[in-house]
Amino acid sequence: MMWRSALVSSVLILVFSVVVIASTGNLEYVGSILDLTTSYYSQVVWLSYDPIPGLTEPTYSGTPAYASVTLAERSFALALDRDGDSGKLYVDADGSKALARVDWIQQLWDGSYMGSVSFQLPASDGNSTRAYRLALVWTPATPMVITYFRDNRQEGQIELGGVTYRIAIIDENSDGMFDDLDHDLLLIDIDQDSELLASSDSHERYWLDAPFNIDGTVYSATSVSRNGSRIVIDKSDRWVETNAPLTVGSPAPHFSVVDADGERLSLSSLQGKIIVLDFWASWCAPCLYELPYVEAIANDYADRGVVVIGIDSDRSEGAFRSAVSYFGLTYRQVFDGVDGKISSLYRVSGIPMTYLIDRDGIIRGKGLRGDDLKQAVASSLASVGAADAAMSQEAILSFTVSPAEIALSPASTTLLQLSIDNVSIHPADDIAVTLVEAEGFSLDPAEADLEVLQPFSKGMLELRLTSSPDVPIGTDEIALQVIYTYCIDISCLQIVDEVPVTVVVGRSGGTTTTKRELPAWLVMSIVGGLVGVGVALWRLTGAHLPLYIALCTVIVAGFVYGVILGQHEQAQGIAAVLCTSCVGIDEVRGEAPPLSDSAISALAGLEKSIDLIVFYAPWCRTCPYAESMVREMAERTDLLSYSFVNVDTNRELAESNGVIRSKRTIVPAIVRVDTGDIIFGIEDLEARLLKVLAGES
Amino acid sequence: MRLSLIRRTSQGFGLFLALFGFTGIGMTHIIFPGLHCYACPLSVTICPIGLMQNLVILGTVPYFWIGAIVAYGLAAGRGFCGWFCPFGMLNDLLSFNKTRIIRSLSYSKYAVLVGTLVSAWAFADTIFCKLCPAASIEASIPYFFMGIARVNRPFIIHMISLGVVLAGMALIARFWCRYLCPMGGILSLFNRVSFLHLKLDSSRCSSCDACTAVCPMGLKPHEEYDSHNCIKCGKCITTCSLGALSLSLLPQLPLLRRHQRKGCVPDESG
Repeated sequence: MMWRSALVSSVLILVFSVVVIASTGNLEYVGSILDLTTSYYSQVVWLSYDPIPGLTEPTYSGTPAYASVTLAERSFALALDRDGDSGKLYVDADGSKALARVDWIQQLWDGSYMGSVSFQLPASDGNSTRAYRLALVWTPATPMVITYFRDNRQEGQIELGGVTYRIAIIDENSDGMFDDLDHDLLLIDIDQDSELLASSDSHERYWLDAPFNIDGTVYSATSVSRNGSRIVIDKSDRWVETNAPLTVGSPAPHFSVVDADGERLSLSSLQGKIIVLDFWASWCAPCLYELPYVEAIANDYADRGVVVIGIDSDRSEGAFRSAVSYFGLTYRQVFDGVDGKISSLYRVSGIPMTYLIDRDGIIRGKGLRGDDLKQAVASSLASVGAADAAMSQEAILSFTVSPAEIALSPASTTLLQLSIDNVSIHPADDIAVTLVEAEGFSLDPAEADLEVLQPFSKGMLELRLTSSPDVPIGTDEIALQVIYTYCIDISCLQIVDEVPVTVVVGRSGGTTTTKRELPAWLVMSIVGGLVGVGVALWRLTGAHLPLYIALCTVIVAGFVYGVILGQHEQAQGIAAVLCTSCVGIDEVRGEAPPLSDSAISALAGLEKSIDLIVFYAPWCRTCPYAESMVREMAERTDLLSYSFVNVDTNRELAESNGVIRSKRTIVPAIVRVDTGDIIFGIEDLEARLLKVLAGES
Repeated sequence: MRLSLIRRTSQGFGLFLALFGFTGIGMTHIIFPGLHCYACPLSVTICPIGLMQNLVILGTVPYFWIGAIVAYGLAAGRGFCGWFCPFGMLNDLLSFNKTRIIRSLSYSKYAVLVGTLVSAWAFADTIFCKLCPAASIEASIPYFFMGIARVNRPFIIHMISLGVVLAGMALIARFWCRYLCPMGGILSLFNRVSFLHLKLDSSRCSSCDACTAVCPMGLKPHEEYDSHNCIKCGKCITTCSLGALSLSLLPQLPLLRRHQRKGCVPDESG
């Protein structure tokens, strides 16, 4: 009895869990796939002159050749009545052994014939049948081969994460069965545009056994019925990134790689230019045929802001370099190799492949060749405008201008400081600051750069703002434009921010006092020279006095100048805040890993709203881990809200929440506001955080 | 005997200042003239090596730090190691075996110093702190008992580092100070010009090597009284029955003429 009740319980739990957690979609047969934009894998059967016994055959006008197609583990015979370059096709579509003629059409471009046949496969009940359409193709050039591919799909809807999506499954290997997950396809209308995009580079097309990411949640199909009428999709343990759309009008995925000349190449550095990406390889004859067109575009339009980048998929770099040399290619080249990063990012399944990207980083054309490509480049040159597909995103960099209000007089220069705070979990690269065109004002130099700003760190740029002699008197609003690259792994975005600046132009003597640091090289040269002279005199004459004077000068100057610059406060701030990784309490870790299943379940079971405060320091290297884990947990439930507090600037809040121990602020610290429970550090953070959320701490 | 008592008192004062946080005051702006972890729950002063790494990471030109370090160096050089540093005091307590210093190895503390700087710059992280035995005692262990640190890989690395250094100290007097301390390396640069310095009256020196036998740094004080390794602890002074060695707190003389020759010289007066 025990084992029986255990078995029943297990089955009930299994059934219950499937019902509760997984989503099920009921799908219906649609006898055509040609209305979807798609590519396909064709199957091949060889024809034979040996008759198939038991068939009821028509009267042939030529010599018949026979073959059979296996669908749902059942054979269906066909015969080709060939007469030279023409042929008639007969198929036993219903399994009655009687061959019936198929109406097919002759393709114009290569003389091939194509027809669509609806086969009758056994239904799941064993008594009835179900329709299954195949497209069959015969080419006179290969007379003993019939190729075929699926021409049907199962389509319906499924609810995932509270959202209903249109989906379809495709029996990609055309075997009449939808339950072989590694050979069949799932289409899901992720962008909810009512269109199922089935092309090979689609962001809505996945193998049925592959996980896919929708809005940060990863799913995968767990079972499909053989006839494709039912699919079960569940959350997956495996993490995959969201596939960016590659349709025309979408932002081009950014990448940052080293090109064939050893120089860093990132799309972000080509801001404002029209970019042609040409995916090619030396073994690909059609690609080589395209090279002259691509080279011509690179040469003809180089001075008009067009950049051509060749992305090579050769198996060896030697072959790539030889080809570049042999064909005399002058435009920038990247050796990407087989299944390279850029090819994967752009999901290139066949070459030649081209992408045309406009000045705003939007894909304006793909798969263009020859004159079509040149014409599209010319059209892009003619059109100027902002991207029509701006991506919305959370703040990554925050900016503070000091002084908040800048005073200056006509024909004068003043110094302003732009403080940049990276409040995100990934670094910001290639930060460039320019002045948005403002009459009467300019920056000197016109562009200020910051190479990289690490996560949760701060940077500062000093800018010299100059006013022209004829600048109007009064208050003016100008803006700084900040362009930077934000990369997550190889995938990068270029982001443009504007920082407003208030300028007050007075009639005379407009002065803005901004604390300015002397050039470090100058100060250190003076210090080094002073001490060097002191040491030299000491060593040469044995007299200590010059060295004492030099060292005493360094002491006084160091203290005084350091205090003026606030370095004593900086030192105290560093020592007063304990980052748990800094002295080896925790390991340095970056972003937190995906939550475990138990954590996700526990979060789903939260019953009341909980506020968390994550205290961090900008330079703390474990803080991003705590922040990303809290953020990820909050994404799993609406009942969890959080805020990030910089302890460097909000010590009072840290003190009032008990984050300061022994007069030392310890970060990262996570505080549950309603109970006051505190977690320090990141060791075993997920489990400890769940305990706090469950009120067990 | 009297000098030894003064030194112990001074070391006690160093420890007292290092742990001044027991009074309830918070972190001050003072950079500690020795190796003392600012993460210590009772610390009110800033570790110069920890701060140095953070300033390298932040790309700050460390004017304030330079002012403090040069001030300490000029005042006493490595005298702080012998008279003030709490970790130096721990070295003292385990100084059972006063072997001769291996001169070539004594430069390894500069390698540690350079390695500390380079690793901070290269990895943007305080790598030295993760290995520092002072941090093991003053941060890892206290925070473990406060429930903030746990037995994890960084903790185990700290304990291994501490164990190795303690074993080294027990086998070789002032092992850490001799070969590994980056702060000692910085202060040693000022040792020959610092106000606190060891003086030798060569006319009284008989080269009996009594001072050598007691030197915790394994030096020959009557020959190397201005060595960059000398921590100016004064043990050689109390041992020298002829009074050839002494400590001075005044700027070194001569200020304006050629400095004294190094080592014991024959008494020219006969």
